Amino acid sequence: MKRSSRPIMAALSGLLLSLVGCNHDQFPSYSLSLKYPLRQDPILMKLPAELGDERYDPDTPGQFPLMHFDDILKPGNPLEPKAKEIKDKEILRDPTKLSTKEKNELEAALEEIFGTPAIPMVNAQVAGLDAKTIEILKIDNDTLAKGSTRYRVHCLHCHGVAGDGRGPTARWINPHPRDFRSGLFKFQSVNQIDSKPGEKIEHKNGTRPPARADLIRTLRNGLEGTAMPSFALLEDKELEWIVSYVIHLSIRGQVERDLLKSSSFAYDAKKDTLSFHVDPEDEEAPPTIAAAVKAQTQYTAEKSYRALRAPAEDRSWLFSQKPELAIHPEPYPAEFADEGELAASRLRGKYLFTGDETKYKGAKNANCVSCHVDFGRQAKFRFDEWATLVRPNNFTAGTFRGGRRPVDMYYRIHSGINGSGMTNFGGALKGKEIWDIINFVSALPYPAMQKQVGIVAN
Amino acid sequence: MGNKLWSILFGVVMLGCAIGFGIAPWMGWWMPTGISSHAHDVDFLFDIILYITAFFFFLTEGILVYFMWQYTGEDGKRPSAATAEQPSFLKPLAGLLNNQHKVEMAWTLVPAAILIYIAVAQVDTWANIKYESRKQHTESKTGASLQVAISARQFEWRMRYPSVERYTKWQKEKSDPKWAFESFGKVPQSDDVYTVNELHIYQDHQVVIYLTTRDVIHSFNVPTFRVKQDALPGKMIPVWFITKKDPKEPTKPYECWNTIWDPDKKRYVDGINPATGKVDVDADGNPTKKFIYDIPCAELCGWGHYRMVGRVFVHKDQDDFLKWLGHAEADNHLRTSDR
Repeated sequence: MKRSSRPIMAALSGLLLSLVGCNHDQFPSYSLSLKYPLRQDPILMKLPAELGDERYDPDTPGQFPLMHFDDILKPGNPLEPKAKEIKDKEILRDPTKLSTKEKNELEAALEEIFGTPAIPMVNAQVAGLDAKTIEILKIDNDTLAKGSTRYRVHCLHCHGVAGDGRGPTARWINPHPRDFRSGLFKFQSVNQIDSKPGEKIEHKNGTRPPARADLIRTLRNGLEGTAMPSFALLEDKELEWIVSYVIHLSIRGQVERDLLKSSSFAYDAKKDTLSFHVDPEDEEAPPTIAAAVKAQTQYTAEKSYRALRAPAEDRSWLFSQKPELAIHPEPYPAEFADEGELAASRLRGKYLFTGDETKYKGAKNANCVSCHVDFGRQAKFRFDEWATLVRPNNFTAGTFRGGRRPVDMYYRIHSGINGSGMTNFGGALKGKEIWDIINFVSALPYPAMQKQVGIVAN
Repeated sequence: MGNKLWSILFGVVMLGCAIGFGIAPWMGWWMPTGISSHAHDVDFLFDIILYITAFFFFLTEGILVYFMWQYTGEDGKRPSAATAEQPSFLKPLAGLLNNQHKVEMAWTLVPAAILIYIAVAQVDTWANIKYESRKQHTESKTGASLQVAISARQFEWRMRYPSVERYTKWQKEKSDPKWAFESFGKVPQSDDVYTVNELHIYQDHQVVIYLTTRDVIHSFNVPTFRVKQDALPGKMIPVWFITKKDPKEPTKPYECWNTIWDPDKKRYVDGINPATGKVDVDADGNPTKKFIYDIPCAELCGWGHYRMVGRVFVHKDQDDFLKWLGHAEADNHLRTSDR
């Protein structure tokens, strides 16, 4: 055989072998040496409104407003004009300012509880979690290991290894893929308003994590109008595994984020460093980073144990799984079956939407038009809790990201869309009024019906 | 010997092709049985072209391998015509192959004739598949056709159906032009039913799909139905077919439905063998893909192209289809908690 033909022969035999097919594992696991990376991107410390005014343009394709803290100094970044204010007011906190020693401590503490991508876990013993929590959230080691391999194939390229929404394809996708590390999920059926029946919480922006059923629904149906496709053809058990793994990533990210955001860490503007800090006046303050991670894990997964000082409201994953916390819409009024009543309902919905007090008393309680300007046709971009630019929906376009079923719309109006700036109206509006708004909004995508409800057609 | 390597390699490739060709039907590598109105015509054209190209492939490849073996050069030596020895059986042909106008005419005219034959033979099929769908479907032989609007998007198929009420109305008022292209395909209605990646149709009934795309070029491809159509941005392209008939025996009634209601999963499942009424299994009891009709995207559309697959659920009859449509409609317009 001539020497020059040897590589060609080798390549050909390789090709033949690959055609014959060795039995590859369809879902190979991560490398054992891979670790979850520590958070690099800045944490939003205050309301997204602090980041700047509304604008008409989204960020340019290929741009992620906040990959690194220094991005805000780059010309062309939407945050660049506010860079000085952001620094002075500490609107953003830069986790890379930790010392190497503290970084290592934090990484080790997180790894002890949450493992690595190849061996993911939520270590109940180390974190002091109840066995029931692991069972209800289905985050046992076996399920997580299976979920991890599926996540690697189906989700990783957008949502990233650590669930940070910063995978290789993420920056080209608008809206950007969800960053799980805040525990905020937009489309869900968890009541964000009541803690017990009749006991309301006085805030407009929900922070409760979703129920497993909500994540399954999103996986199965995809999110229309975004790059999140439907995974309906995967088997039911695979969807369950993926959801478990997403919950694992989310809890890990939340612990890391909330801890770095909390008073356990202090930023020194003079030295430009972030360091662990034990408040001497707080007797319960965790003495070490490892203790703080443990306490934060309990808080995030299980109960309002301590940290963040919000005992009145339980925003743990476990609490959100309670069946009684699902939103149960007020029964759809039977009289709406009548065409005339339905038309009247749509009209009331319109007055509520436009906040027209002269036509409908209490319409200001809804006043959707303040954000969905011109029924969404002229809505502006604004920052959300993830510091990305989003826009209130244009209802005349007929795309409903969180689902087009009336019940999905009810969920969103009742409890808002977490993290997006869409506040909850379940406290301010009666059930029937919510149905009025839904009936009105459902008519908006159709030109013939636009005329019926008396708005200028597209 | 070393210099004969290339002729051996080409010979092995040819042999591999021949073996592959021969055993394909028994290995399940062949196309699935076509079960649509186009299947017979498309398979006929496919087979003709395959056999013609296969014949010429083995002819030219055989000659190539033989000559490469026969006239292998030696390292460092330029082969020359003078030293080449002609094989004895070609000697009578030597005069024929050199500078012969008639032979050149023959190898120009024979392929030309073949190409013209293919061009003529496919006209009917092409017209039937591509132009029939552009007519107003008032003349459908199977009653008002089932219309589905499919919008492709990276990386899924989103289907839109008429509501049960509207669809049954179409069936009653066959001459009503309102159910044509203009009223359904182009204009969504508030009672429409949406599904993702699941195309539901029923046997022996004409289906018209209004194909659009929201982003890049995709291609709607159902190999089992021998249907393939690109979805182009800015265009709405109608696609039609009727699922029926064994293409080999077009007159014989042929069951091709593949879905039933699964009371455990509380939804329709596909992969059902119509002969047994159960999920089709192989000899070892594992589910097969024989009665799963995929809709793979056939145009490279981005990183997620590989996973852009939908499924066709073929119902037994209109009643079963309407039962499904009723379920889907109720779910689409759900007003009570789904938990």
